[in-house]
Amino acid sequence: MGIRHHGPGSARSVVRALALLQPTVVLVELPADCEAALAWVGHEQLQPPVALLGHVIDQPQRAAFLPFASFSPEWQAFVWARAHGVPIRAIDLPLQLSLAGGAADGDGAGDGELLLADHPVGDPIAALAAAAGDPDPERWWEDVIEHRGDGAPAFDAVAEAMAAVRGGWEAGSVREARREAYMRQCLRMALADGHQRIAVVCGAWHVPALAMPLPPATVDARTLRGLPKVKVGVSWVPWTHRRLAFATGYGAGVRSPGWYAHVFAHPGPEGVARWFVGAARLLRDRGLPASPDHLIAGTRTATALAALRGRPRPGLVEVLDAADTVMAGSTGLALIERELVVGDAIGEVPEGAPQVPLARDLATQQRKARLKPQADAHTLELDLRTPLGRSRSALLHRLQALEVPWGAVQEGRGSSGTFRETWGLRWEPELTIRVIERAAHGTTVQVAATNRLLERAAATTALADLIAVLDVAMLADLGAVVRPVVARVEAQAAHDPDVVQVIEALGPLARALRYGDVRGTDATALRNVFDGLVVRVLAGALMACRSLDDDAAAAMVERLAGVQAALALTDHAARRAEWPAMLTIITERTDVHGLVQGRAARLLHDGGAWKRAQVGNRVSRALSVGTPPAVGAAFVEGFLAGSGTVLVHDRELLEVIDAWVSALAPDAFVSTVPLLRRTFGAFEQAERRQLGLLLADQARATGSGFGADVDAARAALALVTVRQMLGVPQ
Amino acid sequence: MTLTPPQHTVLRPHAEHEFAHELAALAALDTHERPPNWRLSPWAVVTYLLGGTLADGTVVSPKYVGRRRLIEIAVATLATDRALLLLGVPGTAKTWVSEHLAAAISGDSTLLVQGTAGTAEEQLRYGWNYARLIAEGPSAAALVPSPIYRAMERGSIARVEELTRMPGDVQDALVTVLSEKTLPLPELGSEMQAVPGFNVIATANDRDRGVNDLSAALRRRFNTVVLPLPADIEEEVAIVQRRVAELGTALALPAVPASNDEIRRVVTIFRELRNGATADGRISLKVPTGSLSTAEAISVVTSGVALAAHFGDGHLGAADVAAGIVGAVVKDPVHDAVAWREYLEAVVRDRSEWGEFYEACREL
Ligand SMILES: Nc1ncnc2c1ncn2[C@@H]1O[C@H](COP(=O)(O)OP(=O)(O)OP(=O)(O)O)[C@@H](O)[C@H]1O
Ligand SMILES: [Mg+2]
Repeated sequence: MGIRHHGPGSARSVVRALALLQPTVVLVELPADCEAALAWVGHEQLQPPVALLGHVIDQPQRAAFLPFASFSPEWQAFVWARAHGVPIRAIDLPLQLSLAGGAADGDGAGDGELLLADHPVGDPIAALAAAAGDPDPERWWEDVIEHRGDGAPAFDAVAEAMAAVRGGWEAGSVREARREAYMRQCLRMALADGHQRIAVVCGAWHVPALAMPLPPATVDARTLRGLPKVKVGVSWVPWTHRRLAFATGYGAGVRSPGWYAHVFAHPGPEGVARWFVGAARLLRDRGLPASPDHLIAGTRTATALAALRGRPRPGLVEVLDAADTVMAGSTGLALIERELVVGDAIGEVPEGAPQVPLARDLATQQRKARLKPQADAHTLELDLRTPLGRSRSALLHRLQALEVPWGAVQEGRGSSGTFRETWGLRWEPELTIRVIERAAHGTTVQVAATNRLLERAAATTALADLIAVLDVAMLADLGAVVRPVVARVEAQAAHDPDVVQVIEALGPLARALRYGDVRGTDATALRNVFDGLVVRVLAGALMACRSLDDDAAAAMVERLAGVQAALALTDHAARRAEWPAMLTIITERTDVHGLVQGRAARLLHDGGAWKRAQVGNRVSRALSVGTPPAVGAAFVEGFLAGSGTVLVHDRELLEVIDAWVSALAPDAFVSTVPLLRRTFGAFEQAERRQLGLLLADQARATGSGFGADVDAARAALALVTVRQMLGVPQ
Repeated sequence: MTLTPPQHTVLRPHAEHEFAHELAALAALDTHERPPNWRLSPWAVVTYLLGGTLADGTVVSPKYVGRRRLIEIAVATLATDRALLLLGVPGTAKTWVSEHLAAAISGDSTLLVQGTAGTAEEQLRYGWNYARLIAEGPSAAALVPSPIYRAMERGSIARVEELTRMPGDVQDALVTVLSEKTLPLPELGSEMQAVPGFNVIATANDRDRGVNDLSAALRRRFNTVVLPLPADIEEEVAIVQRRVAELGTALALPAVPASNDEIRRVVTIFRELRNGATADGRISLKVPTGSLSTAEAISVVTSGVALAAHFGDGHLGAADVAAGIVGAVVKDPVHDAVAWREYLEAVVRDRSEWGEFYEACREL
């Protein structure tokens, strides 16, 4: 039976022909060493689309995927044989041999994947269809082969056509020659075993090579003699329809797997109407209009188009043309294309089926965490106060550590230190191969992730990289990583001459400590390191702030803010005494850039270390005649830190700045205008408007004070909500 | 009671007359099934529109040059008795395709309602002969049928041009006609039921969108086919060439070889200006306000041919088309004039073989 890989028409013909022929053995074009895995076909949890994955044991990146959809003829042959208790034999060249070749043979496709079919005519059925003037090989098969009668005669026609297409072509590449020799050897074996009725399901292209009578066995035996071998592991992996659209394994990419699955499931004439019903449901789900009238019109137009084009029944082209004209201009068309023509289907593999240990453990963890791999992008909200939320988060972060990016934390929403974490998830089948690549790191997700992180830590001496590893380890709840890496951080911080690196490490470390609190991990070791780093920062900060140019000053300003935030996040003792003292020195030193001075003053203001009067004094000193206008302007920029809020609320401060600007000599004004413009231009529009009104005396400062007549009972009600929002216990 | 003189003397014969021989040949050879009251099978209608050579050697000229798929969808739509809406920017052959479809399917392209802001419901349904109405009271004899009424009566295709220019409530008079295929006649206490074969082809202009947008109820009764501007320059040159030759014959112009180079130049200029960039994508251009479709290219070349025949040297040259091009491009005296001047100086002047054309334009 010469088939078209992933052709629903071929699949239907195969089933019909098998029922007619009642063979005693079914031979399938499939690497022989995949045969054992076929025992799983028929297991109710093995749901296509799935793929067989063969990989070289020590080099998992050398691998071949063999995908099967429900409408793949091979899959249907497996299912039929299993259901009828007929043995299946895989007759293609074993992966042990084909994966041994390596790139030297020129048969390794990109990305370490292997394309198994490499005959000169790509898809021979497509070539025949094209010769007959039909761009759609499946429809051509439908029209020409299927409608000739039942299964068996169809295959005779295919064999005939293929003999003509191949002409005198003898398996050209060495690989093809070996494959066909191997297939013939298997066929001889089945004959020798006394089988009378043998069904062979293979790509149409190979049919002439397997035609009876077979040539002498000795030639084939010679072709196959002495080939190099590698050890290969074979496992079942879930696949997706979207992935089928890529060229891999047998057969080229299938452009419309969703449609094929539909055609296979509903071959009858009612299939078109059903398809439109499915389309309408999809559209309504997304809030787009789709009335029964549209369905009727679509079905009728598709049918009329098929008649006009001389097709026995509408194919994908007619169905899409009809949808196009009935719903012209609707945004739903792209949706239909994506979800129905290609589709989001994802397969399933039973627990016990052959898998690499790491993949099996991953499946177990996924089940425990009640996280099912899904092919479409979706978001997941985790509440880290619940055990389930924590375990899910840990699993996802462990995969992150293993560089198996199932998803990513969505920035801005799952911010640090809160109880909430938002993930954007999407499972791509190639992640399976990443899992297998990591198999060498351990047999469970936890062990493998631990080893991978330790490996990363060992490979770096940069403090920031080490902190990044620690960060992941805390999130992924990998205690075994924390201790050794903390020791490395300590050693590194002590020796690192550059205090800037230490400052930059502070922020992530503080966050890691905070996660620890949120997730209830023991973080004593981490806290000790943090304390050590704070001491170093206090000792080196002034040095780091002196003699900076504009760019370096701009970077330093952010670092100072980072230190203050880190101290606040961890509620560190230095926050109350040593750090403000340090900032006071920084803001007073004349060899410190104006921008940095300004920001230091602002941090003192924000941290509550300086009273309002003190702040006002410092600002007016920076803006008095003794200070060069350029330095003053930089001070203002640093002090305001990109926002006008402080001015809106502090009338006095605003007046100080207003007075300074008004008093600038014309020359000084001109030279400071660009700086001032940059400062005030960064404010929110609303802030600018409000400041304008304040200065024009049209508005009163809206301070944060309340009147004397606050209604305590009503305020308490609001407080309940605020507490809830902030996660503060009532 | 038609006012049409015998066909060979009219300026622009209807499609069913001009291509009567093609239609007859198709009908004679057509073995495919015909929907009720269709003169031809859907297959033959598609062949009539797209052209081909028949078994008996008759050559059917292509009427529409473009994607086969579009015409197939249009014909299949009419075969399902759903109404057809042809949409597109001006000059994309909507009217032209609609006329030929009606001619091929019903043998009559004249059942036509021209949509304007002043179109009234009577023009879509029926009116009254008031003298009779007053004398005899409401009767079938006093009723003045609209083209749509007549199409329903005969099982023909009715055409509605520029549907979106009609006021919305007038458009909605079509809803019952299209969904029930009946026209209530309350004054006579009866109704008009359409004979099979009746259908409506409407055209609407993309640029007018938003003027009187179709109501959802009406829209749902139509399948929409969007006619695009020609995909590439070769296709567009072929269309212009063919139509210029046909029009030349119809207008009895002395045979002037419409030089391919001249046509290509007109088409190139129009394509570049409406795309806002030169063909090689190097220079971006201001887009003039007017529509510079294939239809405009055809008329520029045709009038160029007339100029050459009557006032020129009998050959279509740069000077013959220059005036037409400028006239077509410059619709808005300010914006378009600037666009044209920039194009002339930045693009035309630098093209080595366009020197004569450049001079001709400068002299205008
Ligand atoms: N793709 C094409 N094939 C054949 N002829 C074409 C094509 N495009 C344009 N034409 C020609 O353009 C001319 C104008 O077309 P037509 O009047 O039908 O345009 P339209 O779309 O109805 O424009 P409008 O929106 O202004 O009414 C016709 O003579 C037609 O032959
Ligand atoms: Mg028109």
